[in-house]
Amino acid sequence: MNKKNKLNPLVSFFVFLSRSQKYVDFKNRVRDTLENPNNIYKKYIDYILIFLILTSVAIMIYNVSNPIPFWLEFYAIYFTSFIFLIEYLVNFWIYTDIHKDIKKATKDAKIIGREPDYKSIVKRAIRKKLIYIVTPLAIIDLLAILPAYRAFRFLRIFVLFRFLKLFKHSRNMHKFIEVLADRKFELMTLFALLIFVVFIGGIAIYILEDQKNENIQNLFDALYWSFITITTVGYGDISPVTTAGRSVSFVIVILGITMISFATSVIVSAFSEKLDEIKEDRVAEQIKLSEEFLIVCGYGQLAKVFLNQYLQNNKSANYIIIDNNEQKVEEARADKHFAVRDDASRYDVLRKFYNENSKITLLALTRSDIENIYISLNARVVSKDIRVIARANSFNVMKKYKRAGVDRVILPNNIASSMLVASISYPIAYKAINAIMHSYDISTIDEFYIDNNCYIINNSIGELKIDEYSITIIGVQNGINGIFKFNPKRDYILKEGDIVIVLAHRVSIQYFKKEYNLLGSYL
Amino acid sequence: MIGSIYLFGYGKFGRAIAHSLKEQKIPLKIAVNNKEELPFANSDKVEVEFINIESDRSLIDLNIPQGSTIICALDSNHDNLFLALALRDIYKNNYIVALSDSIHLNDKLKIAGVDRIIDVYAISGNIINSLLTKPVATKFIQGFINREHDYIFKEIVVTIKSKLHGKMLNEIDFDSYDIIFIGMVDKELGNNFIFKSSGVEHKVDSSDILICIGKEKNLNRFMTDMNLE
Repeated sequence: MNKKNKLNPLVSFFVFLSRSQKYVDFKNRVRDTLENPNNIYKKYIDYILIFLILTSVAIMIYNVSNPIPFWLEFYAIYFTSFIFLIEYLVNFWIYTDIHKDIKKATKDAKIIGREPDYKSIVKRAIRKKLIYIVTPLAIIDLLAILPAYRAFRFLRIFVLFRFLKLFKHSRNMHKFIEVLADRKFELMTLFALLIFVVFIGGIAIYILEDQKNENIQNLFDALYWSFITITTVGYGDISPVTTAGRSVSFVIVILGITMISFATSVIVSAFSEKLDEIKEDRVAEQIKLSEEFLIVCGYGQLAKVFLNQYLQNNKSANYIIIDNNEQKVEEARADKHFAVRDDASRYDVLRKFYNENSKITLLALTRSDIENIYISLNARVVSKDIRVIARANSFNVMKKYKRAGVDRVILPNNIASSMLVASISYPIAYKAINAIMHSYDISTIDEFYIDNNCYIINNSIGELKIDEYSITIIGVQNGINGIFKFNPKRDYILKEGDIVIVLAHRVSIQYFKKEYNLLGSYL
Repeated sequence: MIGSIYLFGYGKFGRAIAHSLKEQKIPLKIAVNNKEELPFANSDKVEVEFINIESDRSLIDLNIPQGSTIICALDSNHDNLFLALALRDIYKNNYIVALSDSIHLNDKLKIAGVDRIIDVYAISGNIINSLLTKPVATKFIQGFINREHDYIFKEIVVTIKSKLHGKMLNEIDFDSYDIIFIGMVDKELGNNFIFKSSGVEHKVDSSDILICIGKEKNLNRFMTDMNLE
């Protein structure tokens, strides 16, 4: 770097930051915590800020006509303002990434073989960052901090800005604004019309009643009357006294009613259109907070039968059905399931339900192989951790499902055919398989996961009370290499990660699990 | 021991069934009512007979012997139900199995007199359910059905000459053959399958059926040693 390009300390500092991966990672983590609705900590930060807002506002309102102790004043004014100031500065910091601009400019400069002009890059980046200060939310944030400044203390009205801060932390408020924003054109048109009519009416009454009506002293009085009349409030403090003035009132009142009705219908229709979406978003937000859940794509016969069986033994299971057919969604809702009408093959739809802290299983159960493969691949793109089970409708496409990274493929036609053949070839064995698979009253097959919390870790099978509970151990899948050991001997030592398959009466299994603190292996 | 099998249909279900049965070398005769299925049969080099299911004569002419199992696996639910009803009327003593892909069809098939109904979606739904709650066990069990691993379920019919005849269950050494005893049909008590986990001690007599799992060679060794066929 030559002398001409010697950087001032501030620019050098930004260049240094742009090269620090630790700084970039830290900033990304902070941004994620404050802005990503899926981040588990965001919820708590919002709750804390809402608590601070409500308590400080309550104290300040009480203080309008009552004295409060110093510590309460300190809390409501200084402490909360300090926290809000930190929040303001952090939001300012994460609003843009100066380091990104520097990195990009460095890369571009390298391509053309020139030294990057860091000074102007940093200047531009800072200018971009300063835009934050004039954003509506930043202005509200700043005004909410002002009560801490003694010179502004007399302006008690600033307490309102703290209240406005709730907008930032309340999802319902966000939704409300979103709905209004969707009807921006209609509402702005109405607003322009309102202003126009208020002015026309105001000017008309001013011209017609000046000198005749003692309550109308100036144009402002006339505009005030016009606005109060058009909104149908009608305080009655100013009213027309001439026939011409009263005739203007007729027109203003009719226009006012029309406009209010129109505005109401615009807002109501916007809400009713968005209602399903709001509900669905709520369901998505709730479900993805659970530790584990199912996403069932396609509500056909197979999904119906599956859910019926699954929910019998997992009444508190978390799941969501996604189908892009309105009729199917209605059917699912009528069957008392949580269902949303959406296209599961779209990235943003599955992404909405994704939470990296949850164990998610996706079932692609539509009747179309093309759809199921698309949905499965979509799930893979959203996250490799999502477990995908897909229904194949034809044997020829099985390979494609495997290529799409599907964990298990179910081919109903083949399963049914195999079961049918088994029922004919080995009728009694089939009966046994059927009974143990479907947990009929006598015996069932089950499996346990050996984890750190269970009491049989590092114990031999011989040490367990399997005879007392009439439990037959069919085999153990090794937790390290996945090798299945059929009929393990009594000296077999159970290690962490092993999965033990047993056959026993349902009640025996329940008590056995309880005694040794055992868990199932997946959901 | 199973007799011959008469399979109706060579479509999305019938073809897979025929394939499995052929693999097990079970004698099989196939009849179809849909001409579109004939090319599949030709390409698989399978002999099929074309029938008109609406004609009783056509079904009678098949001359299905008593003891044979009939599988109704036509692709159309309506055809399958009609066929099951017609066959029940003609072949009163044959065992009829039918495939179904709807709960409502199951009830109709029952009324039509079908002996066993295989509900495609109920089975698949069960398997998905089991895959979620007990994936390793499900994979293991499915391995038996699809013959994907070395372990098999074996039905062992006790004969009077066998060493098992007259023994109590706890006297039989299954462990040294590396096989697991699952349960049995105690003919003295009827035809119900009784699981080992029921905890009741049974005396094994001739005609009882023991169900064991293990590798085929171990099961065969056990049968040989116990003088069983």
